[in-house]
Amino acid sequence: MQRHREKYKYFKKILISLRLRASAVYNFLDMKILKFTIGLILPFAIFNIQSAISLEPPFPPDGMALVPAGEFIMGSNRNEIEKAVKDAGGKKEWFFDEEPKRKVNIPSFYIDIYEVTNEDYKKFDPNHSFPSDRAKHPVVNITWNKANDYCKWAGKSLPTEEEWEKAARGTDERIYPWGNEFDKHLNNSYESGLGGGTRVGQFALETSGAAGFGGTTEVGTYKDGKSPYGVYDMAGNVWEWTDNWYNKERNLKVIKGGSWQSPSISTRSAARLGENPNMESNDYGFRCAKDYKN
Amino acid sequence: MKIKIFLLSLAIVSIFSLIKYVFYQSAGTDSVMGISHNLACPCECPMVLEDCHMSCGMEWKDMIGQRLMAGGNRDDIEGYFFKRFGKEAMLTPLQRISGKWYQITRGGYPLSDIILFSAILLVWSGVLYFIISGTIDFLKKRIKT
Repeated sequence: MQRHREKYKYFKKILISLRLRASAVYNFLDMKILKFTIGLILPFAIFNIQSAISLEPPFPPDGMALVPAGEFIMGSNRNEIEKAVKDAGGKKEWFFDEEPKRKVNIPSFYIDIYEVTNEDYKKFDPNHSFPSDRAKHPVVNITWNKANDYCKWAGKSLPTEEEWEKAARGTDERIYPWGNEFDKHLNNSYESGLGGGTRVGQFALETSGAAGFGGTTEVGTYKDGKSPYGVYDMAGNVWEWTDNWYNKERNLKVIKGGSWQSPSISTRSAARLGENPNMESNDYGFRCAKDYKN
Repeated sequence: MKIKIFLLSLAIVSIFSLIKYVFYQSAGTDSVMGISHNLACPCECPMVLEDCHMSCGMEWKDMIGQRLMAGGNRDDIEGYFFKRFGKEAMLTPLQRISGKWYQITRGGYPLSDIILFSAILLVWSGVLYFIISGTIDFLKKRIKT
């Protein structure tokens, strides 16, 4: 009996000892695993928290649309130009600056869904004045320099011509933001008859650059005229400044999109015009773009 | 007979002057006036930009001048106006005639210009009259002999 008790006590001690040791080992390992896990995960967590704080959110900034990276077809070929001129008039030589038609690959970027309006611009320049019913109309009588300054102030930049054209026509080679056929109900241009209805002899109020706000319409009026990326007024309303030089020696910047007094041929996404950056007119406006950050 | 020949001469010279005004320009091709000859006046009148001296017309002429100074040519500049303002900025021959007629008849057209133009018309009509009369007389003599 005594012997059994002693044996029991002995085994019990061994068991307790083993348990203690196992427990110690477990605790030790547990700590290691925990440390390992923390050491592995924490840097990523910190990195992501920093990213969330300092970089762009995964969603486009307010009022902007994302144009994903990739190729698109830019410009026009001779056949397209000849067809456009046949339909709308003019001389084909005037549109040769759209050649050649080529593939262009650009990185992702954001672009303003709407043209910069009078009320937007007033936040930048409190001295900017406009009729009260034009608050949501695109700001006009703006030189390239003023447009560029506004975009910088907003943390953005003027779009390049490539960015502008891709945002307007997408990647399926469409001629207009909505498709391949001109439709006067989908934009504000001469044919719409909304902005001007001008004819020879009635340019006095519409074309004076110093006065008059012209025949613009509220941004986003033409819901069905938006581009594949959901960008409005890429055809008509106002010509929009871009960052590119049309001809640097002649001090001309590229403007795109046509305006309320332009013919339909000028509202094609590939159409372009060279203008002096110091020019201001009641059919010139702009929108901004922004680099995309992963 | 002489009066008929003179009237015929006057008609021929007038038509010739009209054709010359509509289809040809006296100013150089790559000049403000030369390019203005093909554009409509942007003010509230159906005139040719060349003849327009109102502020809106001067604004367009200034734009033409700036683009010429920057190295543009007539084709570039006409294309620029078409892209911005469409067919309304361009002139058809009929519009050029009606624009000139408007300019002459609206009043205020310089009297000296009217007198000078009339004098030139009469002189050339006179010259043509003598040519036609002389030709008719020459042919009559040849037929008699």
